[in-house]
Amino acid sequence: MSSRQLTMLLALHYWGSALLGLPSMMIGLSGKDAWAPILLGMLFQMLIIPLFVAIYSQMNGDTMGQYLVRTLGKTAGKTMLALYLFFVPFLIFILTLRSLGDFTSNDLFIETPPSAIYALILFALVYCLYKGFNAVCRSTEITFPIALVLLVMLLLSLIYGADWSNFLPVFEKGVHPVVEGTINFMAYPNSEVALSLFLVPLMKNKQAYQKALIHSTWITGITLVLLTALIIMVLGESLPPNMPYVSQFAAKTVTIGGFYERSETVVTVIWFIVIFYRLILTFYIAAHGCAELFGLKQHTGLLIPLALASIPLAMNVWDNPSVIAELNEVWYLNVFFFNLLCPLLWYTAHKLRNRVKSS
Amino acid sequence: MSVFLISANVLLWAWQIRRFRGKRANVRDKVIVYSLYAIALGLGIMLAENWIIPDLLRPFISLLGQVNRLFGTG
Repeated sequence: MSSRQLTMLLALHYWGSALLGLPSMMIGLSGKDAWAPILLGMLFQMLIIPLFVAIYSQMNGDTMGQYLVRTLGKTAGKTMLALYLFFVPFLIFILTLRSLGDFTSNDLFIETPPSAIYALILFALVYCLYKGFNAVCRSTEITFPIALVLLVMLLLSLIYGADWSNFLPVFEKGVHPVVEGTINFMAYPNSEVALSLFLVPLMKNKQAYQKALIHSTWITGITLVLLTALIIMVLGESLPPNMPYVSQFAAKTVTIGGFYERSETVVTVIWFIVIFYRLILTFYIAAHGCAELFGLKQHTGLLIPLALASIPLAMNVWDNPSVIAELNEVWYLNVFFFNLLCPLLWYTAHKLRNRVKSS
Repeated sequence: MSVFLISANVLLWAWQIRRFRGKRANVRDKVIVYSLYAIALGLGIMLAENWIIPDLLRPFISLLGQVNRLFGTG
């Protein structure tokens, strides 16, 4: 996998649910200053990237499972891998699958049972992963430009209805909402940079990996800042926190000259592209990680049963989407522990182990 | 839809058994994969019979909420 492919894959992954749900969450926390936490979060992310590059060096081309066993020992390493796989990629996969079902059931295919939507998307995911993850990475070179062009189209469309006075007064409620927003932005989607450690065996070298992490961070950051800022300018600060799919609603308000309308379909197309890559990356990591955990040579045998098991799980993960608001309040604890604290512990443990061995 | 999912599960399991026979897969691989198929089938049956309360995330949210209160951040 080249640096460009990893950049595009990570950018598409970060955009995943963030394009639809992040502006609403950030505006709910930070009000009209919601652009500031995203900028700050992006800057902090740049400071954290060296940790993951250092772990890349320590991994030395090994898989995540091999690295954890080497660093923490066989039992602790496998336990850590099992916990990480369940609480991060597999959980994100199930929640994202459910979000996909909720969105399509509410807005697009109202009469279609959500499990039919899950079955269709899972069929596509399993087929693509059977062809190999490298094929998925190569496909990003086609879909990323399409998603980016559509996103730019959406952003330009929103400028027409923008009211700059919606930003004023700036930092009216002080710094605390901005800090809260920054913590939540770092938790979702930025902390998911840790998932890229599972792709280390596919990367050529450290420089390519570092370049990919940096570029994907600023591409996602800038686009999310612009999207959030434009939503504030178009809708203000009181409406977005009460809407689950605020980007789509903002797009619905676009009407230029009586002929340029219905740009919410652009949001839907973008979202299907990015949600596909979010699902495929987390599903691949969950399947590949499980194969490592159980000592299987190939992960392809696990794809179908995991996909079949995920349908009832996605259908029962919550009874209605209002649970997302409760989850957003505490999600940062889960991801900060597994995606920031744990990598720091792994890095430190590996360094100490090497020091003990050399002395 | 539940009938479709359970049928698909059984058919795919049968297909997987045929594949493993052709490839002469080792016992560990068979046990792991068949266990996952069994878990998926079990979940499918539970879904069909409405045995699962549709609030599986609640314990996880409660646990994180308690951790939040413990650290004084919630």
